[in-house]
Amino acid sequence: MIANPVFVTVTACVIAFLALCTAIGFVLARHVSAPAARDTVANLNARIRSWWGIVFVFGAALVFGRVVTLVLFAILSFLAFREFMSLTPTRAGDHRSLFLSFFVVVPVQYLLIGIDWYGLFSIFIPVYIFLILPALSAVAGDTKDFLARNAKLQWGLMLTVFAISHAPALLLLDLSGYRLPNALLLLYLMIVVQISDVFQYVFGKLFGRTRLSPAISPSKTVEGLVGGGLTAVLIGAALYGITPFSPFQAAAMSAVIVIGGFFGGFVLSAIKRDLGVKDWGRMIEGHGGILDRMDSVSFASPLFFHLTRYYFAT
Amino acid sequence: MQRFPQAELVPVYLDNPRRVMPKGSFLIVPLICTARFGAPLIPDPGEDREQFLVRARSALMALADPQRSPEPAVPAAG
Repeated sequence: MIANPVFVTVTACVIAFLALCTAIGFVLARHVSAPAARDTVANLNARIRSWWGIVFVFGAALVFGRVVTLVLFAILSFLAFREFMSLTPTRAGDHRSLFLSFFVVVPVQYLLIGIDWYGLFSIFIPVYIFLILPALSAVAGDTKDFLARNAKLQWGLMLTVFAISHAPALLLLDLSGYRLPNALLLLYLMIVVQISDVFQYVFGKLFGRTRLSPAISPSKTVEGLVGGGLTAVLIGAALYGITPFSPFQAAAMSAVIVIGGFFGGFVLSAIKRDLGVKDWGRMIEGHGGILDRMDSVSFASPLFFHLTRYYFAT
Repeated sequence: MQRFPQAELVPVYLDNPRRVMPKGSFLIVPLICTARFGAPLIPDPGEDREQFLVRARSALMALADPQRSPEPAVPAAG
């Protein structure tokens, strides 16, 4: 990877973009004086600092190859599931199911990608775990909130483990006529998802007037969604060179990623409101928890994976 | 309390440890735990032992309230 000129170019662009953001953040911090604006700029700069860390960790994983990338995503799933279940009430009767989810389901789901077992990868959680977890809960004998507890556990696993694992699952696809390493397709997915999130935030802060749904997410605006979405589609189309897609196909794929990513953030926000919290955690400075950054990935990845597999895999 | 009147009793509620390892279980589930600290409790003059304990209990129960503020207390490693 490190010797791949395409990877080096894309990485250089990402670093240059982050450097530009850091410079803008620095200038803003010196010129803004209103207290509310200062808070926004301080949060912006915290987010940018965290982005350096995210880019470094993710870039290093891609450089070190498939195993390290899978381990990184397994850790992300583990932490996201941990954030999800920490805020979701369960009872003592769920203890074995939780233990199994953390220490068996997460590693096995990623191991299945590692050994190229697509068939089991795609049904392991939605079929086998879906049946095993409620069976374990029933054996524990506690019927209080039984349906709700099992639904929460399955939802948590589907969102944070099953859905997110579709991003690194791109590595197991055999794509006809694609001469670059599949890791670049994973990089493409992550760039489009995150650029969409970042520019929705930027356009929302600069031009946001019309709130999309104040009850669910006070920060999401129509202007942010349109501006951020269009920027991500443009960048996604321009990056067609690192994908097996034509420029038009790349734009369509990016549009799917943007729409999926948007609803990921939207649905996970609705869950946060339901649970009465603002962020999933405090692990990433300025952003909140791992799941605050991975929410859009969880919806965008399965869509992108299956469209790519259906239309481009041999 | 009567022997050390200068000591401050601080109510601390630990959220989630019972979910990490319930009674009778040997399995540990790595959930995030939170420690919430309340204001120090100082015995009122003329308050007897029972009254103070009731007040201490309600102070602790207030911290246990599932109503989560956006900025809860200090996060602890879990």
